[in-house]
Amino acid sequence: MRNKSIKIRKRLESSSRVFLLLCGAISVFTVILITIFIVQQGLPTFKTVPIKEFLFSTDWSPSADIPHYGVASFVVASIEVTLLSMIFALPIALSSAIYLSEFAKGRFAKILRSGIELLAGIPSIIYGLFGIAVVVPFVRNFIGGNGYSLLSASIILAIMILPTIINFSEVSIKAVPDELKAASIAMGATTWQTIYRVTVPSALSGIVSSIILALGRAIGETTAVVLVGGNAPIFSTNPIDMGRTLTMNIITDMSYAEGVHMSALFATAMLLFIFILLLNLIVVAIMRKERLDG
Amino acid sequence: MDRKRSNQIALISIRIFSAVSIAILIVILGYLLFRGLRYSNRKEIKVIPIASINNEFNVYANKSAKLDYLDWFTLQSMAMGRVRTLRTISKVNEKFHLYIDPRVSDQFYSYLATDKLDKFIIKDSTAINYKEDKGGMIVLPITESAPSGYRSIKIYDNVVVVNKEVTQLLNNKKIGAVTLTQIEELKNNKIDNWNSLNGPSLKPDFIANASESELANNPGSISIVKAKEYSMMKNVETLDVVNIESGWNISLDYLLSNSEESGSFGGIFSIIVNTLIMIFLVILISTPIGLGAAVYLSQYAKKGRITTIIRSGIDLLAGVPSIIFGLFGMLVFVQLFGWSFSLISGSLTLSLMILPTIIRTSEESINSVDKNMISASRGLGATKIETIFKIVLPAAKNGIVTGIILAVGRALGETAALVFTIGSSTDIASKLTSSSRVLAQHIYLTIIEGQSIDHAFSAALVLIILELIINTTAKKLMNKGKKNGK
Amino acid sequence: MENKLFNVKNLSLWYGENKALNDINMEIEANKITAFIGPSGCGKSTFLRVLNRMNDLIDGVKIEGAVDFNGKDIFNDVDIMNLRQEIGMVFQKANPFPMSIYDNVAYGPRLFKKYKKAEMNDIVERALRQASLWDEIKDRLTTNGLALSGGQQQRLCLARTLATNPQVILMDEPTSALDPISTSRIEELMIDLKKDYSIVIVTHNMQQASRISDTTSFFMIDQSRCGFLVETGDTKDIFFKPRDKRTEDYISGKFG
Repeated sequence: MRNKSIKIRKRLESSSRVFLLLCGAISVFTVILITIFIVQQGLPTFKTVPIKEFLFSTDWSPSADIPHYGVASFVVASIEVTLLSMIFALPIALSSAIYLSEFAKGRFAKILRSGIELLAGIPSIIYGLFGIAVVVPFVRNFIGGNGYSLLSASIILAIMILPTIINFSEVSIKAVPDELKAASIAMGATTWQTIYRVTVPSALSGIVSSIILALGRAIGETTAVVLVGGNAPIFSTNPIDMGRTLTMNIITDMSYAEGVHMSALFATAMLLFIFILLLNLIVVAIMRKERLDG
Repeated sequence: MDRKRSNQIALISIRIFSAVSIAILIVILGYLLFRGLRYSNRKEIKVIPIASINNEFNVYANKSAKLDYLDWFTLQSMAMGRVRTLRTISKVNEKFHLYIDPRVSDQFYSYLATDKLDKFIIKDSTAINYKEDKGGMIVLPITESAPSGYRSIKIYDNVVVVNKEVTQLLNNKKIGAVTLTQIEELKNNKIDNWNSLNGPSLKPDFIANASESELANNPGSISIVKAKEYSMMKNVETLDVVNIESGWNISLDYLLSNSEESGSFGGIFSIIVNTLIMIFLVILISTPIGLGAAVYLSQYAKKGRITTIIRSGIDLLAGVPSIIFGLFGMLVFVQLFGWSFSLISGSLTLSLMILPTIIRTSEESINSVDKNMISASRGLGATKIETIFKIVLPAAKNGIVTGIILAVGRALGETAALVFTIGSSTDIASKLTSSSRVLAQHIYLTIIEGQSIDHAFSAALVLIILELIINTTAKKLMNKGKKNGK
Repeated sequence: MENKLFNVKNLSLWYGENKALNDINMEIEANKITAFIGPSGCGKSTFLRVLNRMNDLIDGVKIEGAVDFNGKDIFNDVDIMNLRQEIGMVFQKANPFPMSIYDNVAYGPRLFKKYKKAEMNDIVERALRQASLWDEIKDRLTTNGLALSGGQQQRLCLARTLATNPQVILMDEPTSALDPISTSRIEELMIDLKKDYSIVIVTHNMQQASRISDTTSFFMIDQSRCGFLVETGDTKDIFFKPRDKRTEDYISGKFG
């Protein structure tokens, strides 16, 4: 028999507490460090490039004799692609979410659920590859342009954000108390009327949160869009034209950029970061309002 | 009635829209399977893709040479000693060696209308190890059978010759390649005018086995002649023929051979190995940290500012796009720590990226452990950390492992975070600081660098199969966990 | 000179702002079965948990007053892990660990010492015999504890605490989730164990209290939802000649 020292056991207990706290803190440190590093690299841009030009000029020409670093076309492209993808995705996603939560049992529901999980597990590079092989020719032949376009990017993105919207919306819709639905049915409403008059409005904050979360994902997507978007740093609002989003700009130029060009890319990253932060904050605000309203 | 009708319509629409999700999935997976398994390329070649039958000799090539057919002109170059490697012919990185049986060497060279080269004629066949010569090709009398490991090669030696006027560029139009069907139609005079094939406005005149003068003097004339004859004609042109080459895109050989020259040649074995090493590193790094954070949040954290900050940190980290992780990894691991583009830089970056996933799923599992059991352990005198190691973690292990598997699935498919951190060498990584390439990133580089897109699809097929395995394993584990849980 | 096992002086307990126990004074004697009875929610279980400081696991608990165990203050003079070695606890719902029967019983002792195999075997056998479980499972010690029936699981939990050789066993409604046959088996066990151990049991079953306990303490809850001790005494006295009218009312079923 060897005594296990109680002192050692106690020492282990107190030191493990500290270690575990550090593990938890690593996430916080990482976020802070990411912010610091990106800002540190991006801020020097504005020593040479006026902020107004950076944000509002559509002239991005780092290799010209007098280089210009205006990201306005990329901002517009990012927003355009994100909004379009939402328009494509929303009807499908909401229908699936409603279907899954209202008609939870049954074989089709099971298949649908597995299908959504599979879609969520497909890596973005494969969506990009599929985009090149199928979506781009489709757009080229049936809609116009040369196929590589913001429209193609939107279509691919729409598929990619489906699982996000569906999962979160489904949870919100399921959380609507049965009593509300029962009350509506008891007053003679049809299933559909109950859905759009009672269920969806009650779940609205959750659904909106899911949409905003999906927007965040879409605006941050890089691999899939860079393969199908055309990557032309020009300004255009026509979705059939080629375009370049903020993310595409970073990944394309970073491999050869240096000096002010590289700082400008980091400034682009800062902008992206700010957009996503804003979206996250909106979600937090919605959730807090939801909790307060009860 | 109106309400009932709109109700029905609405419900049916919901079903249809939901079905679209499944339809999309089936289309994507199906297409991937199809393109990943078989390739089918449309090529335009100088010869008619119909094998000629030779009564004197047969041509065989090593199976590893991946040769299916040869046109007469290439065969002639080979016989003249002008072909050193198969790289441009069959995309195999092997030196080309030609062996000619002395019994048919005369016939072979006369067939090719070129002078005999002694160096290719076999003197002592026992000295040659044919099977080992991956780029070997041998010409044998038809009475002999092929050496083991070799298969016969089709020889295409017919060309479509036309009068020069048929192929002229007129008003920005020029005749393109013709298909086998169109050749048949031309043979049977079923085509009235060359302009229906984008050529000039002339009547096609098919002459069987025409001579050079017959073709030269007849505008619009067309014939099919042996390549050897054509090589001696001067005043005629040829039409390219469309050839669809198809075959298996993926094979055991592909999976097991290393990638060479940045993926232009060879298989993806080295890349798969690199991927596995990376996954191992990522699990090694992120599991302790993620589990630690989950344990802290579940068992130690009290309601308060620190806990809120930590939770917000995790949520924020989960929302950072992968490209920004890539930039961060580049600044910190590649540059600041000085590890350059390497396996360790990429693995560390990915570990940070998947941290929130592991933390969330682990915390959920740990929270669902029966609190009574925890009390029992404490009541017997165990400390908190002893209880966690002996009771809590074992009880939560299904959920924890599921979370790790799902996080690994995410890491497997990641590209943007690796492009600026992990490097791009296709060799198997020898140390942590080696530049290396992993599967998803390889697909991206293959496309960006303009390599064969069939190659991209076969690699993508491997990737999607890995992902499917991971997803089903995780689901099975999750269900098992749910059944065993209270 | 009996050294009282437990000596509780002016013990009050708060959950955050809410007072849950008010000014409890009592002495618990060794080698006896002491029963805590009273209506539900009156803090019997909470008070039980004070004795082995299990309330420390809950956030926001504040305690005033003193509890002495064998003459030493359990909050200041005794190491908490040793305390829990000396005071075992059996819970209302049987909670065997998801491991083999053997490992369940060996868990407690293994925390404190490294045992040779033969020694551990002896400890496990002794504990299982004392819990009257040995004969039923002696040839399947490697089966998972969760595979046993409800009554067997509860006896396994008892064996688990007995393995650390405690002085006291605290039991929080140990039979309320069991069928009558298992219940009476455990009650027989308790009477048997009294020779070597002291037992404190919380029960809402008055018949059980009157059947097996030597001393009974009656708790009640006041208007501010705070629990307090009404009276303590020999079981026979409490049940047939209670001093306090409230006790008499409760016993005769006015509160139940």
